Amino acid sequence: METLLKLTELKAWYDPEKPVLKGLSLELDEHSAVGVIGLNGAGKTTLMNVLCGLHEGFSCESQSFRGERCSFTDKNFKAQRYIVFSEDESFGYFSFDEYIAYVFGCYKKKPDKAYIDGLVEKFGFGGYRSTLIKDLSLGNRRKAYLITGFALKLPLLLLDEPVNGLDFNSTEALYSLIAGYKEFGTVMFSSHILESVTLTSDKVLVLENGVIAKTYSGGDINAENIRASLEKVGVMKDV
Amino acid sequence: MFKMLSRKLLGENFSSALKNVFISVFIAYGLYSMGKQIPLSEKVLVLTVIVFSGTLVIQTLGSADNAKILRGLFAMPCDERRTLGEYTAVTGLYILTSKVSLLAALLFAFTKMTPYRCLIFLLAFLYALFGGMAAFGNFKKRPYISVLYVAAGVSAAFLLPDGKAAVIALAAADVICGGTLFLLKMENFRAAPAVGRVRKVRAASKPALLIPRYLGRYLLEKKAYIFSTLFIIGFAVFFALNAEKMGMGAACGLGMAAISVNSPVSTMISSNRGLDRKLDSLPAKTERFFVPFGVVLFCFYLVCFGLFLTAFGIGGGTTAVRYLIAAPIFAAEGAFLTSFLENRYPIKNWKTEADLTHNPRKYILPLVLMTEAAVLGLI
Repeated sequence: METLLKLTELKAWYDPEKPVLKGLSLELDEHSAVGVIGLNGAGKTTLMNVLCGLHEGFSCESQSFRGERCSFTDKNFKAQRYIVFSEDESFGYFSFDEYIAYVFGCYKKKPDKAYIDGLVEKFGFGGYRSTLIKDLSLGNRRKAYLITGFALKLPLLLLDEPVNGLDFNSTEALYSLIAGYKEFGTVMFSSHILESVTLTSDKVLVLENGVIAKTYSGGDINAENIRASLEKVGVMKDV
Repeated sequence: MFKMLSRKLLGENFSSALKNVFISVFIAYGLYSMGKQIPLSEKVLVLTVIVFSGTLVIQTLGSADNAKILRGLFAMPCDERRTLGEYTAVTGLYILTSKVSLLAALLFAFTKMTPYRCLIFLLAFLYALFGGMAAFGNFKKRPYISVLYVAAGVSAAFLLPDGKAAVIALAAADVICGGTLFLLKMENFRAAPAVGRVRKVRAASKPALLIPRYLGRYLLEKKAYIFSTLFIIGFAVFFALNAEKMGMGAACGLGMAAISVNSPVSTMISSNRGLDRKLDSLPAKTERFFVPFGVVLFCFYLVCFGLFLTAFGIGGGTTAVRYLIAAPIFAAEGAFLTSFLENRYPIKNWKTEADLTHNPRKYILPLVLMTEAAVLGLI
């Protein structure tokens, strides 16, 4: 498989004396699903924020996208990825239809209406398309941002704790969409829920103490294996 | 309660409050050195303090930020009287140091503030604080009482006796107002959004209209923007009329420039952390957001300057042709600078609303426009 994104020795901090990520190296394959799991404070959200150019305090020995050097704040890189935040209060005065039209405009893409309608149906979001986002419940707001992310079909989709706030049916829909996203690109998501990574991922990264402590792939990804391994690094308290 | 709230509103160890007071003293000294004095009657002083402070009290109590801070508090049992006392104290200190201190700076700079007048100022502020809180607390269940508080506040200024009797009357009004405030419970100050309020909208037909419609909704929903704009226009008209009477040639232009000291508008994106972060994460933020944002701001400033010039003309000010030409130019500069600064230099890591209000970045636009207005006055 070809490499989509490669980082070596990524360090990130809020206080330079206390780095959150301490030399993390990461390689994401094209058309794959990657789950990131770790304790609260392990650096999952910081990693996501660095990748989408929002975190300023970081250094990286090398970073490349499809084999070419890239900057996370570069407009060309930005146009290749989308992030769904774990907490998002943006564009509250847009309805979902307006939000999706705006975001597609930013990415200079034409919305695939039939595909979006399918996603809306999968998430049971049909009744909320014209409601202002600020008036939606936490779960419905999350659905609006997730639908947008999946509808864009970008090479890299980043999801920070995507399961939070979703009901049972929507969680199932999300799992199937993550697993099926390989058709369009690579999805990397962070989660606290073991099931979400075992059911969907080609690769599972265990983030511990600012580095990737363990990587699972292929047949190694099963609940027992990961649980046994996680207990060793103390992550199970949180899973 | 006092510690929790004061840390949020006044900063760690009152750092934010002290910074605001320092800025106000600095502004007062700077303006005082201009050597301009405006005669101001005690009635106008009291009315200004009551209306200005009272509006801020209600705005602060009803703000989304405040509702968020207090959400946890309302879930816990508390000593009603003590908690209400602490809440009143912190709210009062916050408004006094962050906002009313600026009014005090202007008064110290342009009017004669004797110790007697300072006492009147303080008593009027307390009246506005107690009255504003009581009006807010009663609004949900007994709105007619809130109306009575507002009416009493305004009439107090008009019916204020002369001389030392004014101090006695205001002190008595403070005691009565404070006493009735403490009949309320903390529950009366819950400022949560209306449950189940859902608004459906029709999507804009043209993509170019998405951001103008978004910002239009935002501005109309957040009443602080409207109140603060109307207040600042009113202040600018008052300032310009008085300055012109004193023979200041650039009065009209300076009045227009003063309108750009509009904190909520100049920090509209910085104040919304979620939006700022999302814009940073999306491509083409300048073309897709900040250009339409600038266009909306241009229209906004143009309306503000139009209102100002109209009111200034009605008030007897001289609106020369050069100011009519300057208005769209000022509006374009205001729109460009505000949009540019919010795009490239958003205010991040702010903790209290006052950190946003008094960020030095806010004064760049007024300084540019005031310099131009001063030059315009020389023509």
